[in-house]
Amino acid sequence: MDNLLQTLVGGLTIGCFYALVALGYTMVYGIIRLINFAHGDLVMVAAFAGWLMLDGTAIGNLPAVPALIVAGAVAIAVTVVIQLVLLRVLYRPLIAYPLGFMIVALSVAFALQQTVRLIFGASNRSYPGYGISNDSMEILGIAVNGMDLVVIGLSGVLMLGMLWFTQRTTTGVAMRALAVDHDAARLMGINVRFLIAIAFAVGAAFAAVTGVLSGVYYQRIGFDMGFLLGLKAFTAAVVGGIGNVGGAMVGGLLIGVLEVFVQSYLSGSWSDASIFGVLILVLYLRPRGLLGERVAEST
Amino acid sequence: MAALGDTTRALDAASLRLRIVLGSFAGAIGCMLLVALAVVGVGDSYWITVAISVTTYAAMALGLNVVLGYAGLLDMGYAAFFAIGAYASAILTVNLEWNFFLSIPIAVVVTGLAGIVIGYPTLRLRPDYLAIVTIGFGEVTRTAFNNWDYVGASRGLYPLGVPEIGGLRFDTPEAQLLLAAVLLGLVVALVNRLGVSHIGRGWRAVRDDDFAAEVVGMPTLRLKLGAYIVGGAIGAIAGAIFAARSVAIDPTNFTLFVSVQVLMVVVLGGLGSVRGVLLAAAIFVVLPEILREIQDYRVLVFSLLVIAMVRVRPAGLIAERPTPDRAALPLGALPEPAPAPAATGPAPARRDDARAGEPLLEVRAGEPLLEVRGVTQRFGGLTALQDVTLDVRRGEVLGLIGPNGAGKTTLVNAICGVRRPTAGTVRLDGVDVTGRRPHRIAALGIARTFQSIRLFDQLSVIDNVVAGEYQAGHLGLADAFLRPRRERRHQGEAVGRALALLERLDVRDAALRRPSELSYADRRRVEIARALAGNPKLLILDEPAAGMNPTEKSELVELLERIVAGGTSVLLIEHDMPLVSRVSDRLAVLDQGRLIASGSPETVLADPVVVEAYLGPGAAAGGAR
Repeated sequence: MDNLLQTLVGGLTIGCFYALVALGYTMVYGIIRLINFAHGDLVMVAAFAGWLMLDGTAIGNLPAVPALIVAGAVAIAVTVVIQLVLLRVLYRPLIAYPLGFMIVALSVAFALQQTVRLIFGASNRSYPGYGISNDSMEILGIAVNGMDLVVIGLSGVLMLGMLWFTQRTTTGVAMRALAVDHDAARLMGINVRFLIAIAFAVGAAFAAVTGVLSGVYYQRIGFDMGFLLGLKAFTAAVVGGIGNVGGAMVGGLLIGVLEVFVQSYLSGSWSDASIFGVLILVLYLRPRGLLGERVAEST
Repeated sequence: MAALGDTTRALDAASLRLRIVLGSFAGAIGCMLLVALAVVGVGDSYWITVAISVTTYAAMALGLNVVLGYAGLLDMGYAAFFAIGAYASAILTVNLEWNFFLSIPIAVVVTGLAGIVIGYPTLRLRPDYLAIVTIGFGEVTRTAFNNWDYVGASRGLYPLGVPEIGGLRFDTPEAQLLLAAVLLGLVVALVNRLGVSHIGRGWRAVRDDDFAAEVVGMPTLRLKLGAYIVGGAIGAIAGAIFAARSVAIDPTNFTLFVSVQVLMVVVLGGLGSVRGVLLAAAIFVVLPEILREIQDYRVLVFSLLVIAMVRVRPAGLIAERPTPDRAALPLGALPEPAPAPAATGPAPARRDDARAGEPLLEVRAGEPLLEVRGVTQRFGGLTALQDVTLDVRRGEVLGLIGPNGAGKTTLVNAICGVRRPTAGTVRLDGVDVTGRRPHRIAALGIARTFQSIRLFDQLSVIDNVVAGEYQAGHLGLADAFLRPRRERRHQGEAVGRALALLERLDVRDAALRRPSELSYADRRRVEIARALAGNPKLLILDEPAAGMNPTEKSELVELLERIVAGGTSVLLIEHDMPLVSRVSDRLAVLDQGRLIASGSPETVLADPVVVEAYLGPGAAAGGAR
């Protein structure tokens, strides 16, 4: 029983990573109905940006909390800038040409990976763990690892913030309106270009947080850590209901728990396949996802 | 290398003549074989191995070109087909000790079936989900092979046997290259032939605008599935090429990365372009061999090339031929359109079977052709149509008018099967067509144009019109590549009929141009020609006169009269009152989703309820009828 709960906590932690990345996917998809295949690789870029700060500068000598905050902030800045440049130079002109957009995003993903590989090499880099995972806390009778606590806590705060943003702020409401009807939203004076940029930027920031957090969590990073993570996160967004912020969270947690349970109780080699299996199953049985999708109808 | 280029050029010319003499299959196979012989002639076993690698990539890319290039479906797990083909072939030769050549047809069938299994459920989904689902299928397939002990799990299958036929053993690199060349030639011929067939046109129409394709009468789901089956079958041949020259296969040969590379080859070469894809496959494999320094940057270089290509030259290295027909059917050689029987356009012969035994049209004129009964359409809380009942009689023009937002187009969508009405029935010729799929309804004889013109911009004008009679051909996938003569004859006739239609609509000169190059009025004419191509019983025109000048409008009136004289009834939605009251036998008026009046133009236009709906501020009074 303890074992089961422990596995569950591990699953929720990984699920938080998926959920944070899925939020980025779902916001962008909700507005422009396109899959940004390069989104997962932003996680990787952010992880390397954070690693550069922690490993290559004096920031690494600071205590854990300030060091991670600075490294995280730098990673967010770098990732958001890259994302916005990509949006402006490559993505925006292709929004009306879905096939081209997705092919370009896919190529961007590989270009990012290869660039990082050329700079930092193909082997993994080790991340400082700050020994956070050595401490554990007794919660409801099970020992929860400190790092799990940090990931779940921080992700929880970010996700609640995201819910608040989409439900309570003008920008968030405008974004939801945009997902329903572009033309009407534009006529109501909503700046579509600006909102698309916001969605891309917020998504990139969440990806950056995921990158640094997962670096500290696994204590290693590699140039190929992002793409599959991104695919699984997109799967999570679809399973939860694409375009739906709550759905991305639920989907992410579900996918994370599923992955860890398959790994622990069935076989590690089937875990990715089982996630895609669930995706295919959900799409057949409930194509709008568990919580329902929120995207513009198109005819 | 220069010598190779010269040879290729010389061979291109030779193959052109050869193709005329021997037909596309022999020609394509011969062409590939000659290229292969040239490489063998150079005699360097290193380049022979490279050439085999080129053929493998080329075959895979041509298969994906059918799915992605022709039909526009973003398949990101194409390696799954390649894997299933290679494993099917390997299982038969290694585990069951079959002859390699016997294993190929089985592999093709198995992979074609896999195409159905993957395609049938996924193709109903949103097209943009296809990318992620196909990635999923690719990974699931690879994982399955990776865990399946019968095929050696992660160790893979080995040793693969040497292909052997009638004492001929393909055990040297030279022999394997020749074998690969023959198989690639087969693939090239297949893809070329499909490309110029009616199915190729159908795929391009689906790629361009699958909603319009469906409404025009194309079974879009079946066409997409066909692309999957053919793409899968070609993946199997590519898999066989791979298995023939390899000592072993294992799951690492079929990763997502392979799918992505093949995708890059197709995009670089040009979606739908066979020559472009062949060229891109050669570049993709050979370039890193020549420039050793870029080996390490290979993926980066090609990623950047793809990005640049999509942004700068989306058509790819060699753009797809603009009109398949121009090559297959030289228009100059076509006879001038025969004076169409009584100027009624497409000879009704093709629908004879459907109409046989029916009384002459004149006898039945005045009887209802289309019966709309109590049709209601709700979108959430909004009632767009409320209990609409109307008839279109044989041989009449029924004008459907009403203020903007009255529900006219919604009614057309309900009739054409675009949206199943919430309640009510639609009958055509006594047959209940309510909620049938649009292409079925089109086949039963309802054609339409769209309020905002929807032509296939990537097809020529003539192909657009021919697309309108897709169903009438009764041709299948088998005709496309096994009965070229029948296919070509049918296409020749179809082009002839289409030209006659364009002639009637005064746009014959534009036959080979793209719709986007035409004026608004001409595009409208092409759209009407496309709708007439299927020889419909009922033609629905959604605001055809919008944007036309007075001359064009009076030509439209004449045209409508000729269409009706030819036996087609017309449902005309139009805002131009003088025009609509001049051509319509009867008028029906919709206001706020309700039918508020119908009858002869004089009585309807004099009806105070109608006048109020159009002019009065309190249009709601219209519900009183």
